[in-house]
Amino acid sequence: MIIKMVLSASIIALSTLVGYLISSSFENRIKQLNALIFAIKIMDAEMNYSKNYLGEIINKLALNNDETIGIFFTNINNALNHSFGKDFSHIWNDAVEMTFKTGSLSKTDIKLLKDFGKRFGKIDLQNQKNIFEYFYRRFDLQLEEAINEKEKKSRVYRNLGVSVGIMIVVILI
Amino acid sequence: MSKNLDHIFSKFPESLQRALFTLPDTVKDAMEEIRVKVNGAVTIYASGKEYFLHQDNRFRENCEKMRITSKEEVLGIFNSVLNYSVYAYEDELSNGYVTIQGGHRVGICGKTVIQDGKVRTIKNISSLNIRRSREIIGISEKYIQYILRDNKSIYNTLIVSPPKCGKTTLLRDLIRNLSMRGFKVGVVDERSEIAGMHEGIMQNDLGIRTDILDGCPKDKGMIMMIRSMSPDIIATDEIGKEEDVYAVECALNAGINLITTIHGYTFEDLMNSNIKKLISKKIFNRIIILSNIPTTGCVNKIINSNNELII
Repeated sequence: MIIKMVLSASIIALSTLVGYLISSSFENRIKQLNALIFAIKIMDAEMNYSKNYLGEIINKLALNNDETIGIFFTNINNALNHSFGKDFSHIWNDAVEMTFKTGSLSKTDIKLLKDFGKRFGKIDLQNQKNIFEYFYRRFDLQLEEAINEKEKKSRVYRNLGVSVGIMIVVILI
Repeated sequence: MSKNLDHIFSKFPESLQRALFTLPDTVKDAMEEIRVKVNGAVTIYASGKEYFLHQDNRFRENCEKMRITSKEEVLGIFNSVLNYSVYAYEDELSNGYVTIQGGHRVGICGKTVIQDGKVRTIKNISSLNIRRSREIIGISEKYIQYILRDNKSIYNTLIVSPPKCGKTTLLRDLIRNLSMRGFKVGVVDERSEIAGMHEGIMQNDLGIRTDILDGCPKDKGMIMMIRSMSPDIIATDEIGKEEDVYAVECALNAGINLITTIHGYTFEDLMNSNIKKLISKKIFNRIIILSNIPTTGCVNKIINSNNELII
């Protein structure tokens, strides 16, 4: 009897955990999008007001961010320091692939992020400003979508985790 | 390999770097320029000779089997030269060149974009010319005696030479030499070629008493230097605009000595230039005329303001 109770509790705990993990990915996506938008705003300010080189900006972002966004900019920074003439858009693309392939960002987020890096540093200040404005709007829309998705699905997955666990226990008993 | 060349080579893609690294030391030491063209050659100029990159990734003096450079390769070098930051180089691009770490100048050709009658930028890059900046410590030692008036002042000095004859190299060492002799020298380095400043650190040795105003237009910079740093000497490169004349006069009125350079061949060229007024007023007591015969950086003669030969 005790073994049955322990097993049932374990199954419910495990399925609840799975439910929480799935629901937390919605939370993570919002966090990462927010961090990306913030990083892009810093890039915008550094380019427009300080006219710092891209390498310096990336280095600052790598040092001042932690978790996934910090890793992303560290990957770019490392590649930049060892690239010697490699196109920046390739470096950016590779870093997006390497950092976000298995993360919480959606395919559309990743595609948008890749597109953002395509013309980076290759155009004059006015066009660079226009690019920033365009991508702010696009990333804001993605963020809005991520918040809606979280509200709709996060609780569902959490409840589903608990329910599935209870269902399995009931079936087994 | 000298660190000086390292800054240039690091701008090239790996395959081209390998070819550059395998050059004989004699060629590397004497290297003056590297030219790269879309659908054209990679050419090195050293000691009056041309070296072409061949298909086997080696440089040779003949151009029979030369390697053709792709548009992507040239664009890659261009982006690397600009540190992937076109937005930070708009002013330089409108002048047709940028200065990279180490003070090396990279000339850029392509399609110019005109706005309001002025060149705004360059696109469709077609060729690049990387001109090496040299630092030859001690080159001024032989001539410093002709510049020093006494232990506290110098004669206002003008270095005159055609391009590629070493006027910036001589100016750089004169600055270092005078700084080490106790003079406070203020350098207005409009094109970042004298000090080769990078992130606030000078890449060339300009002495312990030298202050550098980097990337600042000469006419404004000279006046800023006078007001802010109380130098004994102001040094600047390539004067010639009408605005420069006013700044030079301001410096002289403040009791500051001047060393500067100008493009030209003879004293007569100076009389036909924008600084004619300064020459007529006999502002420059020492005029050093350089030539590249028999070798680059040879002092042809030193004259005074009356065009009288000193050496």
